[in-house]
Amino acid sequence: MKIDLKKFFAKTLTAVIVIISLFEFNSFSALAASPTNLKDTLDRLKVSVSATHSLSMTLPAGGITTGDTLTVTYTGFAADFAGAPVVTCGAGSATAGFGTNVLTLTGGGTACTGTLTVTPFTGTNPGSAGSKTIALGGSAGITGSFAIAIVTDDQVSITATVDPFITFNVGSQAAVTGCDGTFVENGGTVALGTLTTGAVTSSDASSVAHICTRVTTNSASGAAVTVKSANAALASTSTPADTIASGSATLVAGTTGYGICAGSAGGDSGKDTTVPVGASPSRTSPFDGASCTSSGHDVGGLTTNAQNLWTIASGSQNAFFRVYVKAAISGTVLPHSDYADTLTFVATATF
Amino acid sequence: MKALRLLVALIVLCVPKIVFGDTMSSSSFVITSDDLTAGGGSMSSASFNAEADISGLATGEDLASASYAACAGYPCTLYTPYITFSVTPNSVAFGTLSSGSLSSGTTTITTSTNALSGYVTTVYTDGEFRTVDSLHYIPGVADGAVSVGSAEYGIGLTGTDRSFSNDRAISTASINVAQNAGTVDNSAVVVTFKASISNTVVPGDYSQIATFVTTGTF
Repeated sequence: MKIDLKKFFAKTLTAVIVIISLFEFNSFSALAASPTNLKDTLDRLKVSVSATHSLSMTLPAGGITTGDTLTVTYTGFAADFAGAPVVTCGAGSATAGFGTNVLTLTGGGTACTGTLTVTPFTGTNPGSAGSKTIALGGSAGITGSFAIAIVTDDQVSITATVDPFITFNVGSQAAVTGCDGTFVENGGTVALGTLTTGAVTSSDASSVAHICTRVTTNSASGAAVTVKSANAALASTSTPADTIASGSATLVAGTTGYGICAGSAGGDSGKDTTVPVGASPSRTSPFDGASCTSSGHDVGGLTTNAQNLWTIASGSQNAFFRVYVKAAISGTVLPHSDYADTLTFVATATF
Repeated sequence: MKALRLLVALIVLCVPKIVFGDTMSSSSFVITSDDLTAGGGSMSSASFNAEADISGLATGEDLASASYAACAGYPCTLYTPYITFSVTPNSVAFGTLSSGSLSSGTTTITTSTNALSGYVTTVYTDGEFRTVDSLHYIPGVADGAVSVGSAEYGIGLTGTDRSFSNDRAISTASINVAQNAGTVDNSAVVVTFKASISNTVVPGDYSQIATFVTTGTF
């Protein structure tokens, strides 16, 4: 058999061109009326919970023509879509309505074109997890689809515990060393030396030590540092009846007196800078005399009961106070080499 | 003669299948897939939708074995948008916080989508990381790093699609945590929740709920 190659290839090529033309035409026209940048942002993706939607897309040429509709069908979602969303168009206008799980947008007096946003509106998510396809349709001829992820759980619960705590340091500190938030000692002795009628003996004068106190606590209600005296006086160890009584006063040379006070100078107290901001320590009467320095002798009287010395109103880190011990005698104070007192300090936080 | 003509036609028909097998696009359109048939397409009325194919060379969906999956024929040319997302685990328990150490815990958010313009995942919370009575909270990190001894709380991210590389606070306002401008397959971002306290953080039980949302742009 003789083959007419020219005729054969011509017929074959014609058939292929016709088929390809059909294919190309169908493919392109199917996508021409679809929006771009199509998305719906929900505030919840969990199954079966109500979610708030915010829909947006760039409409194809022509947009939603006047009186025509663009429907958004949330297949698989509950039939409770509702809301009064704000509908914005790049140009023109549209209105929104709801029926079961369908959002219907109707073109206004001027076709809605450009970027369309519809927000907010609500609807209950599907009861099963997975990718949910949302279809576009309606008389405006706009077609397309997008997807929303529905998950079994979209949340993370974060938990932690902060335990209550308080730390406290109290002790004697050399006069030359400043009391501050770094103080770590405990206990010790404040040796007043030999008392004279010619001067008030005081911490930080003539190398007499002071007492440093420091508290750190996270108590929301703060804390108090109390002081209790064993004798309410400086008492002779060998002859306890011989005392230098404690009382609130401004000590002066030649007049018997004994007491303590929380320092009144700016550097006598403080705290760390923290977040949350810690409370500043505050002196408490009667230990809050106007002048409590190495040369200012407004002291509070000590008792055998605990008295607040200073407090903080809430948590604070390294809150501290310098405490001065002072004594003075008149000429009638009986001589002893063993006048002494024991001060007990307690820090208590309220949680 | 006829057999030979049919053979040549089939060979020629195979050429466009190869040429047009991938996604095609220009500045104004995208064709995600194609199929060479004699006719058919989408049809619909008020009560039904249909997809028809005339003389498709091969059809078949959901073809799979242990090592491959395939979809052949006209139905497979239809672009079906999808997006899946997961958040796991759904709880992070720091335990007891200490001013001497940093506490952390992780969750992984994973997204797959064929959204041509990609996806964005955001997170928002139901409030501060706070006590049960809501009177006290650990402040959100503001200096880019949750540090030991400071009262700070926030998240850090790891993963190709993470939205930032430092530590950031989370709040009731959404922030991006993961994003990609194109399609992704199981893109995982690890979200590390971090907490540290100072000595002035009030004792108690602290909690917060973080909600993750992913949105594909199709």
